[in-house]
Amino acid sequence: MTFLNPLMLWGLPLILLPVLVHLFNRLRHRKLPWAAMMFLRMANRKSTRYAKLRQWLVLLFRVLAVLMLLFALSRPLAGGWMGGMFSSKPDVVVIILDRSPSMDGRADGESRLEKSRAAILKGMKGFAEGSRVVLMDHTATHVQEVGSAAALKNLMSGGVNDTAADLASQLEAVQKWFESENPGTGEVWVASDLQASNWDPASKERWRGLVNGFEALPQKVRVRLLAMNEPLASNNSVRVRELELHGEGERAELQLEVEVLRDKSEVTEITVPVTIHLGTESRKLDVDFKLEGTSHTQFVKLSITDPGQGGWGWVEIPDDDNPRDNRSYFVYGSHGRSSTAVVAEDPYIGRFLQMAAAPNPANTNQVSVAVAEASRAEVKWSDHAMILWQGALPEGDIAKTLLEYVDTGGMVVCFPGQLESETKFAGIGWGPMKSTQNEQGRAYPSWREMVVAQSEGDHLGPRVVSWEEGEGPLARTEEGYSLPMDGLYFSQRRSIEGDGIILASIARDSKPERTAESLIVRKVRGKGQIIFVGTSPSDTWSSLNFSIVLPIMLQRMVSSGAASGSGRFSSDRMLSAGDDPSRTSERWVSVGGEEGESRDFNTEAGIYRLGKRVVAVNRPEREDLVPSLEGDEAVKLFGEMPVALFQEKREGTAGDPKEIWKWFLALMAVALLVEGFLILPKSTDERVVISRPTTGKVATEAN
Amino acid sequence: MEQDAYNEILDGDVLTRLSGQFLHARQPMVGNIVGHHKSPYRGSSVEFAEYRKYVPGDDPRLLDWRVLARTDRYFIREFEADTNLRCYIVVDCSESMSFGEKGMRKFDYARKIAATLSYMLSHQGDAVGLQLFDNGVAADIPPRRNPLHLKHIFDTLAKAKTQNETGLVQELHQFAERIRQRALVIIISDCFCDVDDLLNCFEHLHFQKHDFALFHLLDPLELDLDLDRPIRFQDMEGSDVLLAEPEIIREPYLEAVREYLVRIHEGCNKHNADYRRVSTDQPYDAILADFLVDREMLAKGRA
Repeated sequence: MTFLNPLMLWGLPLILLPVLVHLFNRLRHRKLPWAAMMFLRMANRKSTRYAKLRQWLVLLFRVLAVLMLLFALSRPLAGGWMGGMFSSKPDVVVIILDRSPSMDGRADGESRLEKSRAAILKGMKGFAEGSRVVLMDHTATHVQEVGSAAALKNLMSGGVNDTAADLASQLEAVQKWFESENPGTGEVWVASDLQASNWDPASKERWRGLVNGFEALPQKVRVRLLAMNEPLASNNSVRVRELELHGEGERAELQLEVEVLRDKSEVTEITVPVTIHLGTESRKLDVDFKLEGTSHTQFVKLSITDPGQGGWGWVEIPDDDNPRDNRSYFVYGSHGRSSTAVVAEDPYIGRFLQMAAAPNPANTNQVSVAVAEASRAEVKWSDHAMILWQGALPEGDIAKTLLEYVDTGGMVVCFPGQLESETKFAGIGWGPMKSTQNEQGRAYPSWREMVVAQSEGDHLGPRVVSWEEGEGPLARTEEGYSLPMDGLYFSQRRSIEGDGIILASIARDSKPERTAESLIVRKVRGKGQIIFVGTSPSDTWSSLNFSIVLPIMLQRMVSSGAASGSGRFSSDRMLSAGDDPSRTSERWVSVGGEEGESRDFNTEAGIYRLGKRVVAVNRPEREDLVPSLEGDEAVKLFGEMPVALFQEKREGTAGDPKEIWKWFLALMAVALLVEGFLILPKSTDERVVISRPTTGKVATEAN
Repeated sequence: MEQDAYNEILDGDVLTRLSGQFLHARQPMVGNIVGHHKSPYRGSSVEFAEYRKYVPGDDPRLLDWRVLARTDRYFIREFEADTNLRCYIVVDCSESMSFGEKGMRKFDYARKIAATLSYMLSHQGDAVGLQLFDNGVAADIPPRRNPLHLKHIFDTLAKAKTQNETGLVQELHQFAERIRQRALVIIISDCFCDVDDLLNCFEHLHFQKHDFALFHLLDPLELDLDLDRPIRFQDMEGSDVLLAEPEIIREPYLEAVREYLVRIHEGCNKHNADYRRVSTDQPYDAILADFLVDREMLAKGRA
């Protein structure tokens, strides 16, 4: 409850007035010499509990009457979300308005944002005078002064945009503003749908710091939380998760990984028609998605006429309760440059790997870069389609970064080095060095000596006995020819310790089934993979530096890395609205919207062009996450701060706050009436009356 | 000085107004001289009573000669005897009688009634005595008829003061025992004592064939407890103190008073007492006038 005339509340001690009068009356008793003590003693014994209770009730109702009068004079506001807090009018009101896509949800025709806006404007009516109002839109980083109620209406008139809200950051900004401006007592009005991803409830330390910051302020700051978290009856969202461009020329094909989510987890199966628009080719394709659970991901392939030119399009589902998440834009184009980073402790091997990964120096779209040991920490691994790592396995921060790189679709190929190391990478490590020895027990210094030493037609030393030919880097050619894996010589190798998918096994000729060991192992992690090759391409290790196998294998791997990391590689084409504030100064032009429609690159989804570069901007992925906090959970985030919660889904519409002083006056009247009734003398029939005849003669029946 | 004291207990106007009235006994009185009241014995008044057979020893002068001549039988003709009465006015002068908040003090009221009745009785030739008591006998003036005796009564009443607790019950018992001859006993008291004991006293007086009347004096405040704020009640006849809120205890108080009054009234009726409940805010001359008229009506009716 908020009071428009809170000064009157200083009069609250006046409610003690009836009590004081009562006590004063008792203290101010007078002495009276009394003759008829026998009756008084009798009466004192008989005085009923009801009579005593009535005395206290009379006192109580007098107190209530004064209290109600004071409340009435304080002009309380109630109703809607303004009635939730017992407080006086603040000096400043900071409005935080969540305009993220989820706020476009419409439970009953009107969007959550529109309802929030209406509730805030109605709430402001009570504070039209005397309170300073500042607004913080969720896309803004600074508060904005609002001069009048009309100005507030204009400032809030914008619709929902496609950026994600970060309520914790906004509240931190508000706290800092309070710290710097010191504007007096304040209220922070937060209108949000309590989407969990916007509130980040898991960051308890952050919230604790925020609350401590507010509590450390010299002034009191209260929070009024308008929770527009009424569940939507029917809402689906669509998103292009990945896209890959396969083939060239007429055989070019665009593969889209499309995900459809629905808000409610229902057992019933629904069919969501998804329309894929190719904006550049003015084509569209309808595909039906069948949802059994909350999500369904499906690959959709479209033939592209001119992949080299690139293009854009969008995926769309029919209108539902939240129209904002029914469209997802995409941009495609040729892969462009694919880069390989080579980290090698042996410079010869490093150079060889570089050439194998990018055999044609004239092809600038396929490059390989040698990474010096000193600069490993600064390398931006995500720029590369593949990383070749020869030597001791990465450890520490570099290992962590590389694993993150793998998770996002990266490809790392590890080759062993000469130095012994117990380091493990993704659970796999190098075992002891194994050398191929001659009959005298002497190790061959190189595989070439093995070739020289072997008798004609024989293969000396261990050989690859089996390898994965179905798919992967060692797969057969399109014509069905196998790679010459069994022709490789190994003078040195290291065993691979750890679990993974064995792509190739090595064994002595004599007893392959007993002595087979893994030579190439694949470890799948996240969207990417790590491949461990038990030998290196050099004379001292194996004939990989001579065989055709290695370039083919690496070429296939770099292409796989480029494809699997295409989400990452296309990150500079597929952007999330508002996630990169550094681009606010760039002048992007909308190209994918309706005719004549002007869009804001920073806040709205769409296709934008800056020069020759075309990007697709979509709402952030976290905006599609359905879970929203319960009102109580959101209140808990504020710790000890006073929070008034209004939940739309429980309390209906956030109506107009009403002045309810009349109710208090009525209550006061009721209290006075009850008090009057209690002190009412008994009726003539009930009263004990002692007759006093003027003549002294008492009738027989008289009392 | 003496005149001022008399003014406190006597009002000339009241005496004048009541001078035309006569205080009758409600039953035959045994007096020692001829008076205005009926006697239980036959006498020589002009009022015929009855015929009775002559028995030897009767005075032959009382024979009804006409009846003898006509019937040849001996009958004695008897007439009523008129005698005077002895009246005892018993006034309670315990400390509780000094209470007087709304009306005059009960004791002052009692003195006025006692003085007025003494004057009237004396003037109609009856013997009047006075008994003052608190927890013992404070003054005991036997009934006499002469004017000097009346002055003695006035002086005693004028000087009387309230004191001590009431000993109404034991004093009335002793009084009933002491006065053997039937008399008119007028008791003026607030009767703040045990009702059962008091009714025993009345029974005793009734048994002794006394014609007794009770002027039950009560202050209006004692009858309605019309007080509006907490009061520390101080017992006038003891050291008890009671802090109470009249609003809370009024109902049970009035209930107790009413029950007490009903029992006294019923007891008086039972023992043929002339009960007068007097609130001290009422004019005492009206009370007395009614008292006298009732008795006169009764006397005439009986005649």
